[in-house]
Amino acid sequence: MSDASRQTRVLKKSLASVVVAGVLGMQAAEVVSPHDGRWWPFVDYPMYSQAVGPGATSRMLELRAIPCHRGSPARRVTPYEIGYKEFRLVGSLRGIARADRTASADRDALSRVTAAHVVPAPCILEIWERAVTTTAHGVEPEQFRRPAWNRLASWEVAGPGSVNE
Amino acid sequence: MIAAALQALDRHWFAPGRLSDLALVRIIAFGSQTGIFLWYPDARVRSLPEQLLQTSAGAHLYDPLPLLRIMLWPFGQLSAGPPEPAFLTTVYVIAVAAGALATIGLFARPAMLAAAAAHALIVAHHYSYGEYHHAEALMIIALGVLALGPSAQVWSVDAARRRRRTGSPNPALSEFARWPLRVVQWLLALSYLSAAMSKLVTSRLSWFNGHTMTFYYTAVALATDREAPAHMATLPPALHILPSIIAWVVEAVFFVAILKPRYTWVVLLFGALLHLTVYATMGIAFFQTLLLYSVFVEHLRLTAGTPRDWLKRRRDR
Repeated sequence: MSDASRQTRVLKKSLASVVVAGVLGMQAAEVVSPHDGRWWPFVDYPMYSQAVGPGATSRMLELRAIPCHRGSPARRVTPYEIGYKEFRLVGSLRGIARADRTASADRDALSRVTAAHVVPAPCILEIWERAVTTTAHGVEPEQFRRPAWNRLASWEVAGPGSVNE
Repeated sequence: MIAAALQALDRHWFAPGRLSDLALVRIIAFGSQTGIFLWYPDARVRSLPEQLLQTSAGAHLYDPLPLLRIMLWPFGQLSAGPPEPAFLTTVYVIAVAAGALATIGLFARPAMLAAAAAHALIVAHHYSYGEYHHAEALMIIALGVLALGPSAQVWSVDAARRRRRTGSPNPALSEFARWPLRVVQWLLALSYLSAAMSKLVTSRLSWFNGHTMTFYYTAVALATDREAPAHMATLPPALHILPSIIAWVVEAVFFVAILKPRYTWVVLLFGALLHLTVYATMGIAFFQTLLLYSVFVEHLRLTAGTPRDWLKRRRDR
């Protein structure tokens, strides 16, 4: 092997080693000290790791729009049609329902995007919740068969006010 | 002692490997990411119209990931708001075109680099609105790593043209054919280990109590309105204990697939069953991870006789 090709080989190996160390180092660092996805695609994998016992309640929140047109039925607003993602929308809805610090800004943002992107245009937005509680024997099938929804909040899209219930 | 350790490391990463193994993974990774995962299973979300909707309707949610910031900077798209629709459209076209070229191995090096960058940008943009997911993470890193290796030296249009031009056959082995596959193998092992450790650190043994899985099936059933997780949630929690233990063990010992090639097929089989069961019961798809199992092609080839012999012995018994 000539000196030149040996040098090239060593250089290639060195570069590959740097890539190996960099990639695996970043992944290992994220596993040891996670940053909640900030350094995606280097992420940790903690999904579904929180243990729960019997009697835990799982909650599902939904945004519904009541159209301005009289007699039109309310309908569910999916996150995708307003540029949101599922967990992000649920986080906003939860904050509004709890009247968190960010509730007002979240409400205004949802009013704005639903007015612009939901057809027919809504006049009132509502937050509904469905909750299912587990038991020592699993979930009662009836809870899935007959879902019970509760309205947590509603507000007028155009108006400034909101009513938490 | 140190010299022996360095030699072992050198063998682990740079022992001559088959270029066809690396080429196979290139075809699977770039082909699936371009031909399937850009459109499916979250086609509606990943699609160009949905991403353009994000840039307008979801502009107030825009919080670019550092990776996206780095990738946007050379193009002058690093303003306060999301990237311009024309820019995203161009990146989408590049992802498809370069991804196709990388898969067939035509102008392979620039195509692989461009495809890896374009796919990373698209998914990073998708995850820059306050929520990210895990399914593509390893695949996006894998595309970048494959693009840096000799992944199109064989089984590519470039290789066929080279052979025709020079008249000499392409090399079958290279000392640089192994490291990209090793990187992805260790990324997989680290990810699974992260999942196993999180459960232990967060919940200790109570994670295996069966009620935990009941709760997560319930949460998924509520979120997706699907029958399968709802049914699983109604089962006695005791039935979830053994599957929980098996799932955790698979995650915790996945690195054995790298260090003990004899057992690779067992670990991959259980890993695949784990992902397919999770998909069937919860609808959570990690198909990219399953396809990345192809980085173990050498281990599987070397032990190909093992599962066959095992099945034959069982039949003969």
